[in-house]
Amino acid sequence: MSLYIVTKVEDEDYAIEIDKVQSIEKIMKITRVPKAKSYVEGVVNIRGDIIPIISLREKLGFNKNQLKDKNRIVILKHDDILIGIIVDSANEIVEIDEKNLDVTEDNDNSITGLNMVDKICKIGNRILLIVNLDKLIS
Amino acid sequence: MDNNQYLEMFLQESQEHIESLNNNLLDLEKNSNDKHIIDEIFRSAHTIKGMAATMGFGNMNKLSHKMEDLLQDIRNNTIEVTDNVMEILFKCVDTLSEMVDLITEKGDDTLNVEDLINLLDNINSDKNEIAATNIKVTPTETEQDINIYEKDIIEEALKQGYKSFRIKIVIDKSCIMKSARAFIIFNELEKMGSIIYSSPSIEDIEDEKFESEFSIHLLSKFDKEYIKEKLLSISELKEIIIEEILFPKEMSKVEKKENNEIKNVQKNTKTTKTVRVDIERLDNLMNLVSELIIVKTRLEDIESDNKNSEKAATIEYLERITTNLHDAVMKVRMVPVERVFSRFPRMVRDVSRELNKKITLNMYGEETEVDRTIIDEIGDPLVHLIRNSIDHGIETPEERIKIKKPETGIINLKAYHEGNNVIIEVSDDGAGIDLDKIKTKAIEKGFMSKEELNQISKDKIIKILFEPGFSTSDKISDISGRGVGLDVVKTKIEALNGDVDVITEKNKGTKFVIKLPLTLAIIQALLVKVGDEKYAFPLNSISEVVHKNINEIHKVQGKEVILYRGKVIPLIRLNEILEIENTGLNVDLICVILKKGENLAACIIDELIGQQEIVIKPLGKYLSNIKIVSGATILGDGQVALIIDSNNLF
Repeated sequence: MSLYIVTKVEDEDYAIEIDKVQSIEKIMKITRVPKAKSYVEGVVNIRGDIIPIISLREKLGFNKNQLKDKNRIVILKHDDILIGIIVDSANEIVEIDEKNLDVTEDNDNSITGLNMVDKICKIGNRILLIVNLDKLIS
Repeated sequence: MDNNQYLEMFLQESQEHIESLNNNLLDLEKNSNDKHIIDEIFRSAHTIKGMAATMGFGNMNKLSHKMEDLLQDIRNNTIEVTDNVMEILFKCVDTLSEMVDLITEKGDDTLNVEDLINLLDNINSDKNEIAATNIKVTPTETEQDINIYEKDIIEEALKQGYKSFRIKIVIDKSCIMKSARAFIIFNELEKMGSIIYSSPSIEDIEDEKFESEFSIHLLSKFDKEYIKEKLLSISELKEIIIEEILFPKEMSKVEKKENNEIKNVQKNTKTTKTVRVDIERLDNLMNLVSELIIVKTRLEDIESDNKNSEKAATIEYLERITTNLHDAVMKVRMVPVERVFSRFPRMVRDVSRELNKKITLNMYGEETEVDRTIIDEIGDPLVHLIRNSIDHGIETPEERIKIKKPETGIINLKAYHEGNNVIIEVSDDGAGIDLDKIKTKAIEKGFMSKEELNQISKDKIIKILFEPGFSTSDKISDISGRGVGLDVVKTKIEALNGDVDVITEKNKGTKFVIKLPLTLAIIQALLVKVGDEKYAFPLNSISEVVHKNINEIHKVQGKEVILYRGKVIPLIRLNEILEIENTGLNVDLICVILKKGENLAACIIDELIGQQEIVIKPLGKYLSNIKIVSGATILGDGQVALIIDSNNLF
């Protein structure tokens, strides 16, 4: 059993291991970084650390949206890299039993788009997509 | 026992001892008869051996033990310091150093040392028997078992006001860990003076190869009662007999001892009052100071629209304190360049031997202090430059004699402060850089055409040396000449916000001058606005800010340029590079004149904000491929401004 934070993008539920999450921040002024990839929104200052911010939407292949107050930035630490991802909202924690996890054999990416998801979990009639951080932050 | 907490200390100390071994061996090579140097070396080897044994690193212990045996023979004059012996000793030190590296990485010291130990044994083999019998002699309270070497030491020590004691210690039979007890005794005694002889030998005692008693010859400034009292505080000792040995002849000299001689001794044993601090803690402290400076700037910003004199005075006071605090923390982080320099004597020795050249390395200003972050980075560039000097600069002894130069070449390594910079010079009295050779190579490799080369100045031709993929060496040697050296040096130095320059004269020599900022963490910067975004330029990359009219932009070969102080310099439209839409046509242009070495460029910005002290923060691994930004800083309002790396703008 382990805990996951559920974030929403386009009404889909994307779950991130809670161990990797440093904090969840409200939307703030993001400083654009020129010449960076389009999904890089920029950098922010979080308590003295300069942290790059990427758009989970764009990484997942959705269109870019105007950022609104309800958007959230989830700060993750993975392999010593601190990074923030922008999600539509993040306000739920679920407990997932590893036994309920289905590893998707989704090699042609037909279901989950850009290969950012490698496991799927069903809770009741909900479907949670588990984000593969290695692929997200590569 | 959990050794982990000691491991770091062990590694650090081993490294220090290896460094001192290296230095002392180099000295020994020059004066092979200096007893003090041999003593130093012996002490270091002995300490390493002891530490390795305690930490359970068998290989390291074994090697240093063998090394110590050899040194002992050198001390006793039974073995002469020949080239071969030196070579083996150096090899031992290298192997020990490798072991330390291995322990750091993997936590064990498994390294094949059989060959080396065989070499050591071969040297020792002739002497082993004598040495062995020497050790087995049971001590009698006479002078006879004090060999010549020890006598020398005793005489010397007596002159300096030491007293000589013979101490016999009997450990209680019930004591379980005799060697541990002995170790404590040795420790205690070493605090009071130096042990010059022990029977059985220290090694045998450590291995518990003794019954229950042993005797020690101690030189100490303390008197008999004091030593006895100290030893009595150690438990499980059955008997302690202390006897002062008087040498009638020497005693008369002792009375005549000069005060300054005492001072000398004190100098040698002087312990500096220092504390070892984990680098991470220092970094953390530095970060906190940076935060404080940011908050201070923020307060100043608020203050500017608020007129309250008492508050203003308080903020001014705060500003003074933060500046002082910043200076103080910076000083703590400063380390002498000696840390980098210390490895060079050994390197010069090895490389010059390999190339059959005779070279003296002189080092000046080793005490010059630089920020830790810089120290870690300049090692490699300096290695390149020094290797270059040895390989390309200094001629072979035959050539040097032919052109009436002293047979031995000189390499000078010099460090000193200049304003807010540190200058490091590497110079040699060798052949100098052959300009014609550079020209031929440049044409050959297609860097420039003959016509172009004829037009540019001597300095510019030398600069070609720093181009990637350029090397003038005819043959590719192991040392340098792969054409990667100098451009790596340049990139590395520039990444540190520094600069490299070359001065060369044919047959007189070459001098490389490296200029580096004192610190990388906090710099003065010019804040500007491009569109709605704020950016910072490091002040040391700016030559001036000028206003130009839009009519003053000219075009040369399709590129925009302006005239600046009679020079034609390229114009950079920063908004285009930063992908910011132009906010409209301005007639009056604000140009920041950027400098990169001797090259200038004018960079158009929209608005000047002002000069400010900024704290540099890295953008992090994830965005490391963005070349035009060298880092970021946090502004007074908590927002992030990017720092432009002007080296990559033009």
